[in-house]
Amino acid sequence: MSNDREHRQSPPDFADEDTKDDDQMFKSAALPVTDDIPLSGEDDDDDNPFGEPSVQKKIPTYINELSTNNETPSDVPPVTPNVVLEPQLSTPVKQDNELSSRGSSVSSSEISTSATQPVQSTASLESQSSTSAQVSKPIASGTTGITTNMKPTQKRSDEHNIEIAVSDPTKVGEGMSSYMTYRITTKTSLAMFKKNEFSVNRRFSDFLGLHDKLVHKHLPLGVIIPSPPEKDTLVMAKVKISKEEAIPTDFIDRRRSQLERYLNRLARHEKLVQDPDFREFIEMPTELPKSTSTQAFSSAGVLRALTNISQQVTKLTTKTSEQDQWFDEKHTFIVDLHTNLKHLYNHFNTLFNQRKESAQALKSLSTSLNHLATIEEHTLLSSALIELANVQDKIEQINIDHSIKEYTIISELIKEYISLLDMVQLAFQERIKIHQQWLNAEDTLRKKRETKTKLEQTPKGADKLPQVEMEINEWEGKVTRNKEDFERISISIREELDVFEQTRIDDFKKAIEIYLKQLLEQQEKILEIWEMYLPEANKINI
Amino acid sequence: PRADTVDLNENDLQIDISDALSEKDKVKFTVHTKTKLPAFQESEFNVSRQHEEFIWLHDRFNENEEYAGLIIPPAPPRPDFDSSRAKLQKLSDSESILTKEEYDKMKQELEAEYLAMFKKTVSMHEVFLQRLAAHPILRSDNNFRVFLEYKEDLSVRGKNAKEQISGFFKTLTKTADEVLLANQKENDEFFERQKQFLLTYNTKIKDATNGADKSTRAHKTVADTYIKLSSGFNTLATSDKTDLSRYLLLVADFFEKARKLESRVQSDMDLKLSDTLRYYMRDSKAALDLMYRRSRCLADFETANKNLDRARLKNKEVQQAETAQQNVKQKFETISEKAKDELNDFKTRRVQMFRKNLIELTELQVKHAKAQIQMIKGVLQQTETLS
Repeated sequence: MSNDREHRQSPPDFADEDTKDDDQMFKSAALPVTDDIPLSGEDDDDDNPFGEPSVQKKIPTYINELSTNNETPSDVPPVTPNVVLEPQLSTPVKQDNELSSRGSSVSSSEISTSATQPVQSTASLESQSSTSAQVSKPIASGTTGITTNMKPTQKRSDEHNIEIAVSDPTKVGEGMSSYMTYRITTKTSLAMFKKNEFSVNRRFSDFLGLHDKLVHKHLPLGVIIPSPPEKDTLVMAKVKISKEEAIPTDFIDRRRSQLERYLNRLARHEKLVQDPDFREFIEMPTELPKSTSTQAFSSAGVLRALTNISQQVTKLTTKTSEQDQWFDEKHTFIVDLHTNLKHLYNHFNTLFNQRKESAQALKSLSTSLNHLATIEEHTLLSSALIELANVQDKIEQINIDHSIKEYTIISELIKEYISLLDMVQLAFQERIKIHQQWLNAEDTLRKKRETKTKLEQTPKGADKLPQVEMEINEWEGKVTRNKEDFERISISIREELDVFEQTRIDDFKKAIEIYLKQLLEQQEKILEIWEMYLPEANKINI
Repeated sequence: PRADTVDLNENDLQIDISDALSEKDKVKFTVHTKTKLPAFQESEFNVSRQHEEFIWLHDRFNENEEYAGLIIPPAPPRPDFDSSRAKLQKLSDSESILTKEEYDKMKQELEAEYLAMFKKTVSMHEVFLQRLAAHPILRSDNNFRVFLEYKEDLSVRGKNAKEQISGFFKTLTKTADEVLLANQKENDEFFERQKQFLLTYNTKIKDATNGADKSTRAHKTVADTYIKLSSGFNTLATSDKTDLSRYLLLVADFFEKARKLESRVQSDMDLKLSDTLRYYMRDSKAALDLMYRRSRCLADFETANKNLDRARLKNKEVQQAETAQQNVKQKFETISEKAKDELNDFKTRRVQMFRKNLIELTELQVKHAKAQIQMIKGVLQQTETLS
């Protein structure tokens, strides 16, 4: 009670764990905190770089290797005071090989955050108990025949205890009332599910509904909730009204792949995977009640929600506690990262379009070389020209493939992180909201106490005293609860951010590796093509 | 390695452009000649020539009836740095919105582009002269000698009004000739075949040249975007305090290296393929010009024959008509004879040049692909040591 002043100035300190955060505390100087980038403004067609339906039907699902990266050492469940995880996860999964890696990674990861003691014990518990607490990176198999030869190192593969695949996009109904359904297939060894393998059908609005529920439940607890792909009314209208043959398959397959990544990210999150709504979503075979609030968190909505955060952040930062400093620096980092990723994403989009044009130009060249070859009277030169045209065709094909893979491996990942960062900022904002609530509650409490003091001094006021005392009790309770809420969300966000950071590092490392290997493949193919052409060119004889 | 199409006739007349100066709107070429031929006053000398003087020379050859039966080497195209200049301007306009690093790289790119174009125009002017020097008949031309050795300016000012009009009429005549050529009955199988071939070939190779140009331009655009990507990854790397930072730096570095290699791929496509196509587009047009001239002569010949018949019929001025007919006949036969050689030579030259350049193109592309592979492997190795 006597700590009113202290509370107003700084939320309670979490003492020692901050030392482990050294790596993650940095001064981001580049951009002012208030720099909100309009999500719609800059993007050149960020939802639709593919434009009209092209010949490409399926997009290789390389993404699965990435979003489902299982090299996340720090996937130790952050222990919040109330949640007890272990009892639910009873299945001892094969743990042999990963344990060593898990163990070492546990020590090296930034398992900072508040509850250092419990975390340590859990860590040791971790190494003995099932690894199912780590809702790891499932490699969901895509629907195309792309060989997932880019599997992450074998050590981790046993860790997968939940894999989700999204397949078979199907149009239901006709015209504007039609919609797409997707088949969700889950393979899991987690005990909380009734079976090891099960499938359900869901429509897009079901995803949005799920997201809505998750946000309402978990955001106040400071959870960073992955978000689903956005609604795109324009393109969807095209899908709805188009006939079977004319459905823009690129768009649909991209959406399918994004939905798959989304579900796997949820499944990877050890709090969210246990959420009953999530479980019902992937498990319950019957149709879900139609979601009404599918506005959910569209990017515009998120932006609106975020516009206030800047002012409120400054309010907090007038205090000098380490905790606030940590949050402040983190927030700046998040905003900067968000901006930088957006720029990069736009560049990749530009690149994608340019590659498309380049491919078209190659195709034209090939055609014109063929025509030239038909008129060329010298037979050997003519053949050489035809072969050259073939070379251009093959290179065009290779380049198109590469471009699509580049998009899948890099652009989609960046996009995912852009929306994840939105959700991070949302969590930060929740914390500020809660802090505000707390301050307000304290204010009210103070006023009530003043009232009580005043009443105590007047003779007449005595009969009003009981009333006021009751209110004081009530508000004391509220203050305590708010304080607890604030502490809880602060802890939670720190933990979530640690996991987030580690995931981010792993996801990007993996993506970079796969991308480089893909580039290597591309060049090797090109080399082969030119080497095969050399004898053809040499055949030309006078 | 600059004389692609030319068989240098030993050492008795060697020409090269030893230097070139780009001054605002014009380019000054230093034409350097080394010769043993007695017609020249000195055995080695330099003159300074501008593009208009090359055109003047080409026109002199084209208009000379003596050379009617020959393929006149196509004139080099005018040096055009407008697009390069425009791009440079655009870049400096956007200097404020780019990072210093990006700006520097793009400027570097543009400067390299400018330099490449400059080298190309030098080469094209050079090849023109070298082909003339290699041709047994054309090399002895007086105007050619004057061009090579006359120290002063040739005073070939821009066409005045009268000349422009006469130039216009020439083009009209040419177009009429084209119609003539297309419709003329050709008894000689060789020339009929050649006519058909050249007409179609010229069209097709024009398309191919455009296609090649478009392709190299598109490729260049992609390579230039790598600059932005490299910069973007650098920015991410510097603000990332985690492990990831070093990976991001590797990616930034990769895009920078890849850009340079892709630029070379594109540039070699341009030099070996596009330029070859372009040259033969022009050369095939020069061959068509020869065909037009022959056509006109043939038409004249037919007219002379008719006149002779009429004269004989009327028994009036027969001698005159006979002489005229004889002259035209002679002229026509000379042209036809020379043209046959020239057209066969054209084929040989063409096949040779394509062969040479296609082989060189392929070898270069193989080299670049290998370099890319090495580079990517290097980066991959570095990522492995990081993890």
